[in-house]
Amino acid sequence: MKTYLTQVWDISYKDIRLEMRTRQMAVSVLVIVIALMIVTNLAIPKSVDATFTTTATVIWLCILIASFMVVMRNFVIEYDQIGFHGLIMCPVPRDAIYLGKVVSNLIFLLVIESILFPLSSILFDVPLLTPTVTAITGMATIGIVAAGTLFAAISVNTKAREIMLPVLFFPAVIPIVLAAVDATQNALNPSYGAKILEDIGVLAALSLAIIATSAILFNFAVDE
Amino acid sequence: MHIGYVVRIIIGTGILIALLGASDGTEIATTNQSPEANLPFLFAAFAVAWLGFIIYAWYLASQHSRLRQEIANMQKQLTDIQDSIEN
Amino acid sequence: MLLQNRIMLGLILIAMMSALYLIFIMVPTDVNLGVSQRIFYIHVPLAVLSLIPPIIVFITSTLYLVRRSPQWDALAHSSVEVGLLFTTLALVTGSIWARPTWGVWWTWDPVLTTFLILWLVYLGYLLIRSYTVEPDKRARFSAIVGILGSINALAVYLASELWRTIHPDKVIGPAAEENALDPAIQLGILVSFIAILLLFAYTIIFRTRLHSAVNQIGSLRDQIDDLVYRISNK
Repeated sequence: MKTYLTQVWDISYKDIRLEMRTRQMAVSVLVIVIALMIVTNLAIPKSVDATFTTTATVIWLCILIASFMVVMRNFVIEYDQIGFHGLIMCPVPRDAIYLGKVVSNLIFLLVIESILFPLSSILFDVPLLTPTVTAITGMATIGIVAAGTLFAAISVNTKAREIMLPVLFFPAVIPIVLAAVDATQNALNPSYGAKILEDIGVLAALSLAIIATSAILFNFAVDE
Repeated sequence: MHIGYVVRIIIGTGILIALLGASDGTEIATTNQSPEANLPFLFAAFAVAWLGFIIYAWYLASQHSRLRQEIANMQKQLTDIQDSIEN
Repeated sequence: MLLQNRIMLGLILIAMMSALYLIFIMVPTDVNLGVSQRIFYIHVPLAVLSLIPPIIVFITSTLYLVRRSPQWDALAHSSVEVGLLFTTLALVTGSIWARPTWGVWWTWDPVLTTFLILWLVYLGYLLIRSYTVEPDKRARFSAIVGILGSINALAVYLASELWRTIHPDKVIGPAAEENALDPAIQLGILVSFIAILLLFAYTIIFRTRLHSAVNQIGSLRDQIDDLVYRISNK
């Protein structure tokens, strides 16, 4: 009898192994996001002075788009190869399937972020590789991916999946994106001090709430 | 709700916003002007609200009559079949 | 049923007419804002009633997921549709009021942001219904979207209160504080609220009835199919 965590890991490891073999998604998403980052950076007028604010905004915009593409790809591959029914037939709890998908999506995003952040840190000339920014990014990414995974599982079943996912997903992550942008710009601001721990706590609580609600609702979403 | 209605709502809202934007040049009455100076805004708000109610009521009524027609047709079909079985 | 309909419509008509009389004849013109303050009498009831559908949707969607009876789904769908109408009208009338008063059509104040997101959530809910083919999936998916959407509307309000307070225009709610004691104004607000509340309730009930008509068509079709099957097997 496998434990719950092993079940979760097995499901996410399947996605990771697939991605390691094909290297289809991570590379394309990374290229798109870097292009987006450069374009948004150039689109902001040079006269705009608030470096911390613009950096935080551009970074989170990129992460939002990246997570949208990652969760979509992950489920479209599963669904189009009729692997999804096999996945649901697995003798594991439904929320283990959900958490497995969240973990694999999260790992893909963390890989993308680990390249995006050093690059933006150079291009924006802002120290993004501090422990606080890393903690904020990790916490907020969990919440964004958790919401995205649930909505992707729903919208992949509809006729217009590319339209449905952003319509459902973007409004749903507004609170956590607002919190993340605010926390990132505070973390970049050296005069903000130790209050940043409070921001990280808020983000962690938000992510936890999203992941718990979505795990419960996922049981109903795949109820075949 | 059929997808066409959603599209119509979006287009309608767009046209409305465009109209509001186009009328943006109209002079805004400040406090020292006469109290009736903002009458066009009052008219616009009530016109929009009533228009919204009426269009939705019209949509509901048309759906209602369509469904009633369909129910009547099917009931007739059903009795016809039942009659043909009995004969 | 028909008599009930007529009584309800008559009540709505009476309430609407008395509200219009109060708004345009009885109520004194606001000293600071001029006549455009009268938009409030329609805007405030619309805006307040826009906040009811999320509560209905949250409760009925949860009940649907637990019990799986289609009547809860019908009620959730109806209240979202009426909610979309009310939110749209509240946003537009509010915008028309804001232009002469604040000088802008729109400001990213927490209340306004929440209404805009609520509007988007409603659209998403209706879109997912129209894009899902199987009735069972449609009801389940829209219930999930409805539950998350109602929680999200609250979360967006709290989030924009917390993290977007840098914005200067923090003018919330009716600016009618100084005139609030005038009985004519109180009566005006009360009567137009009742009128729009009746309209709100009636449209939701009527919309739910359309759902039961659709169900009736479904069961009639089953009966016909059943008979045709029996005839062809004779």
